[in-house]
Amino acid sequence: MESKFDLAKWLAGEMTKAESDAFEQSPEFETYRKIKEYSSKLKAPEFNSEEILKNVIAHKKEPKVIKPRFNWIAKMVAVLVIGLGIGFFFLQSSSTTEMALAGEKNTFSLPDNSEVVLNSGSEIEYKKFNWKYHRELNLKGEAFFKVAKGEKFDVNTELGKVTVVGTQFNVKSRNKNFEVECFEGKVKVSFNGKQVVLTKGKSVFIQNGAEIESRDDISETPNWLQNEMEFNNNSLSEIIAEMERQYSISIENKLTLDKKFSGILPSDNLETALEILSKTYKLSYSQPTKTKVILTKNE
Amino acid sequence: MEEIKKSIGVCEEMVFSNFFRLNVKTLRNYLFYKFGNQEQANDISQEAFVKLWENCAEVPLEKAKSFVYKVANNATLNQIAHQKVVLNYSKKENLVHSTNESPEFILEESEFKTKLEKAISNLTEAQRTAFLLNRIDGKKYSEIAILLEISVKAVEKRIHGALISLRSEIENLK
Repeated sequence: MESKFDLAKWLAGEMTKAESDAFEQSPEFETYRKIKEYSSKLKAPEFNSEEILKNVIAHKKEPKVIKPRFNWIAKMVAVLVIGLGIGFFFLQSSSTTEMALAGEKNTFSLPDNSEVVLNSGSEIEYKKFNWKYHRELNLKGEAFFKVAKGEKFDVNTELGKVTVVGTQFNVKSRNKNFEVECFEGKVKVSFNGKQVVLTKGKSVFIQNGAEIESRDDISETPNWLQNEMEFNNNSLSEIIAEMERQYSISIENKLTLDKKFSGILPSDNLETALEILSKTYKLSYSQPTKTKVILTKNE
Repeated sequence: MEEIKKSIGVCEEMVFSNFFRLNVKTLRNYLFYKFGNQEQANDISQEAFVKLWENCAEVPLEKAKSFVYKVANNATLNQIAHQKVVLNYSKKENLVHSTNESPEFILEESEFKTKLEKAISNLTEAQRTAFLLNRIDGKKYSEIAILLEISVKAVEKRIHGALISLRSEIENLK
């Protein structure tokens, strides 16, 4: 029996109010509702993607065009933000700025082939001149680093400093939260006159200048590289700030809710993220335009 | 002096790795939903990315996604036999923990979930892949259309068909 309702539209939340009211009255609705709810809780089996990536990269490429290679000219591929970001080249003592706008991520190389991925709403400033012997940059926001071997490498943020020697690590400096995760090698974190040394697999989380947690079971790469936002004892306003950055939208919140939580929200599926948020905080939301969300009390 | 925006090449290992990490899970899950075989899904995904890496100079970043899906789909053209797709329910679930549920409710819930899993494995391949890409991977219909190289209307038709099929199977088992 052909259903007279457009179920695909219903599943995507695209029915008009009149249609969905009518559908909700029908006897079949309850089963469909359960199908929708439980199917979104399903999970595909895990697999080791990093292992696959290693295998892929290991494949030697066919040299199709033989170009002369000048290794002493560092690969200066400044991958610029698609959209409004403009980078300027200055000489000697001037700085270079790289940024990622809301909803964007920016991947680029430093003059020594160290690699950086900037998360949304983040910015890095550094001097190209004499980079090889003085590797220091200023970070606002969040970035993942893969540092080439060489002299020491410093990342300055408003909340603390990270010094490394040939490693892969993630630094997050947002408002009062300073978090550093070490994926490879060794990292020294300085904040408020204190110091912590991280080795592979360890992380430290500093909130309001006090170390509140150190973990040693972190995953192989940061969650945000896989389109997930990870929260660690964050407030609702901090979560909203990150969602605004990732989705490039504005979220209006008239409620004051103190509950903090830890968990993961997707950064590539706004509907799911809002659903989880609304269930956790028991609130409702509406999306009057594509770039605006309003959170309200649950009636 | 203004820096001219250079076109982004996939041959840059960092760019390639970033692209890989953003796309491998969906590609591999799609292949798994299709054939129910984890190893095969992993292998074909790897093959598709290897082809991209080998041809990185010829494939601009904007075309990379459709490239890997094309390769993956071609690799499976000769595949006919497939196994039952086994899925699991997420342990994380919501961030809200339900506390006051009766034992009857919990049992009912568990029974429904089992029926649903079985019904999903009995969907046609076309319906199952579209449905699971939406439900598990959270892909919108427009995104699914691009991945499967079909129209959005075709995706909606598969989703609609999947839902009808699921309900009919679930209710007949009651």
